[in-house]
Amino acid sequence: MNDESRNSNRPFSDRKSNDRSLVLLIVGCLLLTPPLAGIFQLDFRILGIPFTGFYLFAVWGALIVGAALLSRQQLNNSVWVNQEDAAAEEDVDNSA
Amino acid sequence: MLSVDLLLGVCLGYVALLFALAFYVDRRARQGHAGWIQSPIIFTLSISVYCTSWTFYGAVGSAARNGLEFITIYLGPTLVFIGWWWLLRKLVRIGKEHRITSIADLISSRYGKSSSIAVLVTLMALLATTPYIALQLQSVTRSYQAIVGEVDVSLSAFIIAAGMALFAILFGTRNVDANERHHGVVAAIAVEAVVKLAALLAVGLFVVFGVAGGVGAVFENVDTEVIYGAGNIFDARWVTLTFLSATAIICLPRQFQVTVVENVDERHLATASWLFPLYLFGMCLFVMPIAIAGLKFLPAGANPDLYVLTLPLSLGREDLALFAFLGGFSSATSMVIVAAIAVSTMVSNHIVVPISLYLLHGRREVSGDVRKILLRSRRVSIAAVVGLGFLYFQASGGSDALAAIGLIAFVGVAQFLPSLLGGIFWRGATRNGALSGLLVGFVLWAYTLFLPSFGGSAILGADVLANGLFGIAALRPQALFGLAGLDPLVHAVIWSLGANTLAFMIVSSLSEASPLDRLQGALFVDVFSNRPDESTRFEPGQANAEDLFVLAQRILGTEPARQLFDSMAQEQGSAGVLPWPTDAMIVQLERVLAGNVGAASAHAMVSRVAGRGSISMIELIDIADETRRLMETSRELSNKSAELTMMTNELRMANQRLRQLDLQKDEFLSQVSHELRTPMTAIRSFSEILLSPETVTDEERNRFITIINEESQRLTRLLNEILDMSRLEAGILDMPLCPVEAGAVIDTAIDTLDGLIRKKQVRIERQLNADPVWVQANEDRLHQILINLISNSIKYNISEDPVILVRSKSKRDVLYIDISDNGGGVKREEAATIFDKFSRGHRSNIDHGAGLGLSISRAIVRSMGGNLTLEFADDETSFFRLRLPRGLAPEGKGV
Repeated sequence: MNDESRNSNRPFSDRKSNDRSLVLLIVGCLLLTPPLAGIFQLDFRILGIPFTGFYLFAVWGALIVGAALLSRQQLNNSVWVNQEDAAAEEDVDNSA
Repeated sequence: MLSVDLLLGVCLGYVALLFALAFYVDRRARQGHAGWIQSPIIFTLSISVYCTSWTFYGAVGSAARNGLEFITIYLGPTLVFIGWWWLLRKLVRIGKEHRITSIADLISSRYGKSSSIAVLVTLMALLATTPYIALQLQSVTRSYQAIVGEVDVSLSAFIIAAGMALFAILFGTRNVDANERHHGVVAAIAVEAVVKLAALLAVGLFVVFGVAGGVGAVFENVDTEVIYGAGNIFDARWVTLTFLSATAIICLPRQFQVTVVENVDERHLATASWLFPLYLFGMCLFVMPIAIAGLKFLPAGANPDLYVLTLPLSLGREDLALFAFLGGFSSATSMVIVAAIAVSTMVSNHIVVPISLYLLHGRREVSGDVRKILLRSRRVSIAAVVGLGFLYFQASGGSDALAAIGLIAFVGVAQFLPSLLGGIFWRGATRNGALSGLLVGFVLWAYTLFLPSFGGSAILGADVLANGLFGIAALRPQALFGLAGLDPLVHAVIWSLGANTLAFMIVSSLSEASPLDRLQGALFVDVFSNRPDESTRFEPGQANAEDLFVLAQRILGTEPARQLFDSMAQEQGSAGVLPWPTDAMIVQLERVLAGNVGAASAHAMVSRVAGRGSISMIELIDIADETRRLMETSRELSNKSAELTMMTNELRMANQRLRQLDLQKDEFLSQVSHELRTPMTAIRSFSEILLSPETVTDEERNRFITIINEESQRLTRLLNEILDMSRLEAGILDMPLCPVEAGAVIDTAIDTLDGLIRKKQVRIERQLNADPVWVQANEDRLHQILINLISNSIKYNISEDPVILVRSKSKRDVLYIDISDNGGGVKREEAATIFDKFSRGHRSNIDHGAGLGLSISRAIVRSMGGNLTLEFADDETSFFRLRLPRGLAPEGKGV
């Protein structure tokens, strides 16, 4: 049994969290590299901090928060190697 | 000013603490109390070995020179970890299932356990790591210098190198299983990770809030150009650096070691996916403020790479400087230790061990041999790797060129990326493709980036850099084929990685994958759909459990090998004996061994012992030969079987003939006894009558005696005939031949039969040759035959006026004697059997002859070289024809 095939049988939200992590990755790549990042190279400051520096750290921080939220979902929803064994044993117990 | 003694004391104390911690954790883990050391936080902290002194000191230096660009080095890893689900998770799973020991092991394992790829990757990793280690040594000595003033650079660098090598050897090679976690090392690195982060944060907080007086104040009166760098910040270099750092977090040997090899639980990746970026975030947060403060408060000539240290020093915070020094020391030592362990594992598994095994081949009886070799080679490799770093540091003289080595190493290890990604996502990737890609990338990296980094002082001279190799402008290392106007780093990445990827894909798509290559490809690409125990190999060969046990003993040691084999035997349900060498058992053993010596070596050794190597050309030829021999044999067999069928048929026919003969013999015997009984019965009954004389008259007695006499004669005749017959058949009848005058014999025969002729009133007509004809015969026998034939004609003649014609006619060297009569002849249907023994014609009811006469006559004639046949005339009357070979007339009796 593999993760993918299990996932296809699992509730919709499970695959969602994996999809979201991919979206997060792509958004992160786009926001942190040209040409999109070039839009945010501006010559003004926020709280005395040059905007581009502020922007980069803000995106970075947002990505970390997003990853933290998603990783919790993925941890809870996904099937892991060690858990699979336990689940398999449970199945045996139930059938017996 | 900090005193040398204090600095040394703190340093030694810190090192002693690390040793003690590593020792304690190692022992606890060995006793089964790994506990907190296996937490996701420790895992994340160990990954922070990414932040070397190049980060600790160098990031500030880079920020002071190029502004925010330094951040790209940490954005790449952040993106990789955010996308952990798609790449890192797969790498870790593959690493676990195939007991991968290093990145060289992973790539070679994927491409059919190719040892050439393993060696190539190992050499590239060694080449990229050595200057990096030198860089760490340099940063530690420079920071030391910065605090205490002038020191013996070489000596301090050597002491540091030796200390790190010792640590790596002590805690990195405690166990022969490189796949086993080095808990002591991980714990020490985690502590160092905390120290370096805390140190950098402390310096940063001091600078921002203690010196500048707030976040906004730091950036006051600072040109935007200082912060953004010259020109457009988001240019090609930005993208390249982000990409390179993302690649490095996967491909750097030490990162692969901590992320994949040392990983105990895949779930730790989920925590690391945000915690590690957060760590990097923390490391970067105060880099820019420190850089700006350094530019503001330190003299113009100060080295930006040491701002972290010199800023607190110049501002009178020696305690903070000491902390910063420890942070820098931590980042340097952790990198050297992990890199030494990772690279030495590769060097040992893929270069030293195969060579040692080759040299020691044939000394298999020494158990535990290889285990010692493994440990020793790994220790020597660690010392060698760190030693090389030290030598490089000495040779480069601590030049500023070293500062650039971080990125150069990144580009070097980035050459692994196409083969690595292609290997785990693309089944079609082949060994040849990977080998070509790696080679092309390696050469171009060395030519466009690594060698030029010496600034024309090594291998590539200054004129080559300026004018190209052999003066060919198209071969200028930093403007290859006219691709000028680019940042040298971007230029090198485009050429080396671009050509690498292209070569990898083109050769892969053109070359055929070996069976093992294809199998490993499927196992790697579909790692999530394969259960670990489902991988089977379809290879020919016979494994011997004892040989495998000896092999395992040599590599794992006697006791672990015994335990492994016991558990495998138990799994097979046969505890107490050696496990049956099934495919699954061999695969399992190979995996365990792979954890010690790498997949390629393990496969080679198990193959050699178990005879399970992939099929070589010679084996294929052998198999083909065997098939051909089998075909020949089967053809011979079918020939033989046809022969046998023929022989069986012949035998059957012979048997049939024998049965016929047997039947004839039985028939003959019954005939003979019958023939003998008839006269015997007559004799006996008449003699019985004679024994009672009172009832018999004299007349009757005379008649009876006559009958007895006749019957006795007949009996004698019959017995003579039978005797003749058997003699004739045995070919022992004594019958001398000599020239005989045929006419005379015929006359004599007729004369002999005169009595019978008279009695039957038969007329004999003779039509004999006018001249005497001589034949080669036995006179008596010929006489007997003629009498037989003529008497037959007389006896069986049923005509009213019996006439017998005896005619002789000579033809060249043959004489014919025909005997015919008017008595009815022989019917055509009787002709075939008339000469058989005891055969009688239809007229034989008249007189009961034995039926042997004709048979005997013919046998005699034939033994005289003639023949006796029954012929039919035109009018269907039959006659006997006697053919006799003519002979020469004897002297004096000639014609």
